[in-house]
Amino acid sequence: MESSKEQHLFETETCLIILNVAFDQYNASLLNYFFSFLPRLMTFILEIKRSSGLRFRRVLNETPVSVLRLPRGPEPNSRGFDPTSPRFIALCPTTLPSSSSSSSSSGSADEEEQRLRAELRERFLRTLLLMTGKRVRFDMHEHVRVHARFGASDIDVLNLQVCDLETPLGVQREALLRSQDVIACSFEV
Amino acid sequence: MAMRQTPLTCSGHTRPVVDLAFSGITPYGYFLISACKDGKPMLRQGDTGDWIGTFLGHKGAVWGATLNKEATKAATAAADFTAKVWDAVTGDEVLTLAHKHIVKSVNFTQDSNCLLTGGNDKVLRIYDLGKPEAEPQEIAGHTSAIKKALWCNNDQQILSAADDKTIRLWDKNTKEAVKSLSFDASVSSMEYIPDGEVLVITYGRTIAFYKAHSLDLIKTVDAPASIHSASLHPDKDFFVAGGDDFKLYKYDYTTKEEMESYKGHFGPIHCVRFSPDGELYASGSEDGTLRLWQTAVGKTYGLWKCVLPEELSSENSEVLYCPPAEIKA
Repeated sequence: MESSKEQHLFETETCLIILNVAFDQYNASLLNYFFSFLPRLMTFILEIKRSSGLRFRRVLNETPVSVLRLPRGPEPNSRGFDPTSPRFIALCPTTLPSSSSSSSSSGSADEEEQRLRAELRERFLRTLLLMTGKRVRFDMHEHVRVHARFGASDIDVLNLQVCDLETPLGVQREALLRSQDVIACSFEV
Repeated sequence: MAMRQTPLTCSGHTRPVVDLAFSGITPYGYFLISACKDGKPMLRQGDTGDWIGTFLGHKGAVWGATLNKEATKAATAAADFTAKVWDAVTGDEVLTLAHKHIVKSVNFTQDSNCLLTGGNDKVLRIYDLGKPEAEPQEIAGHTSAIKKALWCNNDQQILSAADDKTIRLWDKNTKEAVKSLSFDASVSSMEYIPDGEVLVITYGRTIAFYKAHSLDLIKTVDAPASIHSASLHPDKDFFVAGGDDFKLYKYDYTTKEEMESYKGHFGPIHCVRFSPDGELYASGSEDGTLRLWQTAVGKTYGLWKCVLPEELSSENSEVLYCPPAEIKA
């Protein structure tokens, strides 16, 4: 059965080659271009037909290795590193104490820390309020020291709005100071 | 009954994969990091290829990536003129080391305390990760861009391959070149096997094996096509190589005979590495995928399952994924 199909393939290829040569002689260039691909196209189509049913000449009795599933790909919205994975839990230091025996004492330590944090935050905000309108000295990086009248800060304390900023280039009526550049500020209460 | 290799394709990268590295064997298995021109190196579980996370932060193509032995730290070298050190458990960036040109290669010492970098500025740098603000030790000498730099001989010496077609062996303390090898073609890849002190080098169509201490040639093997990367099995039974013709070749190390060749990638293969247990090897290609291949085809390992013919036709076969029959030319 295989040999008859091979015979069929050979005959088809031969016909196409003859056709191709015939057209060559007539120098029909466009048709010639098309027909030069036809033998290859036919071969390809016949190979597809073969693979759907029969075995190949070369690949016989080979079974592909089975696979349980495909490897998982990346999640579209996350960078990964699952914090619930055993490796993460085992290797990552956590800020919260993990032992259950000291849970009550650790709970109160957390509360104390939170209370102190809240108190410090309140003091900072009250200082900012007190600073408004006052002449403040800002100590900044690169040994820069300037005086200005403090106006306000933004919600995240990233920028400080000041008036009459005294700089070596002159006095700036209105200016914004970047908080990350400021090391310290001092003023008379 | 003969089994046909089923490679596991790991997708996710959008540009060519140019480098990959395995970690050592850890209590959680072993891991694989892939460097890609899309600037987002990925960490994967080594035996299954499952994605674990992506290291976000580089602003250019990542040319080199490595993991330390315990897979707790990762380092990457990129075209944004930086090398970065990452926490491989959380994915956070730990350190950024600025360079003066594209960084191509990074390598940890066995104790993960020092990082070696090399790149287009032709200088090797050794960073002490305990003192990252300190200036790195520099070793100059190459006359063109460094492609790969590795620690060897118990982290006392450094091997570097550059576009000046030389490989040099440097002493870490004296910073002098102890030995040098010259080639006719540019060296495309270099791998160092500590156990046995073997160096695997590829250039042109040749895969060459050298003794790491003395740089004496052990043997060379010629492949049918230009080879970009090769890797030797930990037991030194065989080695695999991949290159321009998209195929992966498997050779017997002792007899130098070609045992198998595998098609599967849709682009030139840039890097090939064996896993630390030798059960599989990974290949990264221009087509943006990583493929995992079994060393012993048909063995049950990772996601591969050895299935007997009777099982294939029984009801249990639904749980198994059988890849469609491929046309093999």
